[in-house]
Amino acid sequence: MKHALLALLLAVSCASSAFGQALQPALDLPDDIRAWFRNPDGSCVQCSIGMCGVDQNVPAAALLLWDSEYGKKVRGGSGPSRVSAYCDARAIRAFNVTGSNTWDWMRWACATGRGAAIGAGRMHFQTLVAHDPSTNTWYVCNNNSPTRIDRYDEKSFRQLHLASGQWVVILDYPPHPARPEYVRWW
Amino acid sequence: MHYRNGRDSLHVDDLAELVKEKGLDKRPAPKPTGVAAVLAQAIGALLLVLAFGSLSFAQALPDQVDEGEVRRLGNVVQHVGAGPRSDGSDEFMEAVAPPASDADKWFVSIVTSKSCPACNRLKADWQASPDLKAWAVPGDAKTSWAHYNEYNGGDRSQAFRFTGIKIEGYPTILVQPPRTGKFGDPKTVVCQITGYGNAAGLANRMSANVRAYTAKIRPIASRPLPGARAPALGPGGMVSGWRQPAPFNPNDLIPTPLMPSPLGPPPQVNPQPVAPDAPEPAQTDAIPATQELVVVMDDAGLDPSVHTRIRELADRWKKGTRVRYLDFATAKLRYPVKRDETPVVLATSDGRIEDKVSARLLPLLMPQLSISDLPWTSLLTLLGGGASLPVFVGIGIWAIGRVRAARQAAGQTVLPQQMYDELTKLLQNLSGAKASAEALKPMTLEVSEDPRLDRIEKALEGLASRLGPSPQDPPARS
Repeated sequence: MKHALLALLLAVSCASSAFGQALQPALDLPDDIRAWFRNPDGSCVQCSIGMCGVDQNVPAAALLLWDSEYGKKVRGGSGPSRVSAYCDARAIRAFNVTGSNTWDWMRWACATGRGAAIGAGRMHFQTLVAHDPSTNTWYVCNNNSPTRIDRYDEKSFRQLHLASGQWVVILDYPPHPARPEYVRWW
Repeated sequence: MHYRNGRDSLHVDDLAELVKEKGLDKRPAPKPTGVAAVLAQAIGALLLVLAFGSLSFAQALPDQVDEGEVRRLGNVVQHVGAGPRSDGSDEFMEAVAPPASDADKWFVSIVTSKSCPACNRLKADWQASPDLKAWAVPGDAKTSWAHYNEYNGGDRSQAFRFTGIKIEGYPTILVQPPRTGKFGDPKTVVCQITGYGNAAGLANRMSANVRAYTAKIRPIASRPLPGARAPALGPGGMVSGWRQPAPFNPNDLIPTPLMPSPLGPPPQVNPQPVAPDAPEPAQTDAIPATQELVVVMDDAGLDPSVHTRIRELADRWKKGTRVRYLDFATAKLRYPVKRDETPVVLATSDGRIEDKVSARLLPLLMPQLSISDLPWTSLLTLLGGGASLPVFVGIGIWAIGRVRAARQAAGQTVLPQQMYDELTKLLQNLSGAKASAEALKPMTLEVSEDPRLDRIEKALEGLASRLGPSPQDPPARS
């Protein structure tokens, strides 16, 4: 039993280091900022979009959960039409995608450095953080446990996404740059 | 709109504060463990089920996502602001496909401050100037050559992005390579420019840096784009618009916007500091550092003696140090100086401020020992064989004065002036050498006759008293 636990721990640590080194996350937020978007009252769609808002530096989206200069707080459950309405009201540009093509959109978002708010789990929305095409591994942040990044293989991820119905929301803004560092190139 | 603590509205800068205030950053309290706690929870749950047994089980899950609407909509891509794109035609799948990948775009980020006129000017120019729009078009990501992001330096929700670099002033303009890695590590700061003069100058500097960088970094064969898998065929065999990126051709360099011809060979430019007055990403061994003393003058100008001292300081500081004089209006665009600091001397290395000192303090920092400063009367008496107590006291008072002046110049605590006067009087009385001591007035007394330096001396005394008055200190003077 001990050996199995040890192996599990090793596998988890290897997976997390691989995520840290080889893959650039599309959504790049530290734990403490993701924790701001812990689901308070069944507002999972707004929590997921809010994370993308901070990541892409779109305050009108980042502040969806709270009263702000961009509008009243938006709380509770949502469908595509509600998302469309409040994005319109706040002048948030977004792709509101439903149907069978959501897989391509999710791959596109990760490949171009954008996070995505996605249907994930029964009646639930989560934030897509990264996709590793070499292993077909998906990384997702659940707003019920926002300081953790969950890892799914292709099959599990398909189940997860299909469980909620195929719907994704991607903010139509430039992606964030990688965190800048001085690298001796000259 | 009112937030409950009285603020009119919430700004993104306040997000961290608000989240902390509401406890949203805290993890939920750990659930009770142990047999008794589990038993209590089970009994509670049973009671709840009995009490609300008539409620439908459909309500057990909170209705967070309207799944019914998702299924009803089917294949729809709504670009909010552009209307839904679904018409049932053959072009439909093409229309609902993701846009072309923009992962090959460079990144231009500007970090600004709210109370910064140059930042506002830069943002306004970026909307209008063709030189800057050639790099990035704010608000129009599709036509923009680079991804353009504006960050507020005071926004705590974005502060984590810039912990790896040193922001020395506002605005700061950063250029980074694309996410694909084709031009090296996307984290690399290809260009960091602090301050803003004019659009053409900024565009030229960015261009020079990117040219130098691309000449140095040979583009590597594009590693497989994350998500480069061919998209699935849609109904009717239509391939969605987003296609797998073509294999990278090393000759197919992405030109910078200001390159004269995109078809020409890459320019062979030796990387050099673009301008000596702006910070560069980091120190380098390959390029000799540029040492400068930048003298920021006030309206009154400088005494000729201060010019001499500045030249001496340049000779002493580092080899090859140059001296440059700037008026305040020019200097404030490039350096974080305030008007009440002027005149000030900034010691810079490759544009970075390493040290600064008030130009008015220079005479004190570098007091020159002239022939006339020496206590000639006492020395001649001593040399003539007239060694006596008054002579030694005279020389001693001179030496104490020199030490005191040096400590004052170095900003160290010195004996208060009143105590110093009393000490010299006491020594003079003890030795009966009042006359010779008067003749050998210490240097500090001469220095304090200058009204400007008197002001500095008072400030130093104030500093000394703040550092902690000794029991012997006299009562504070007004």
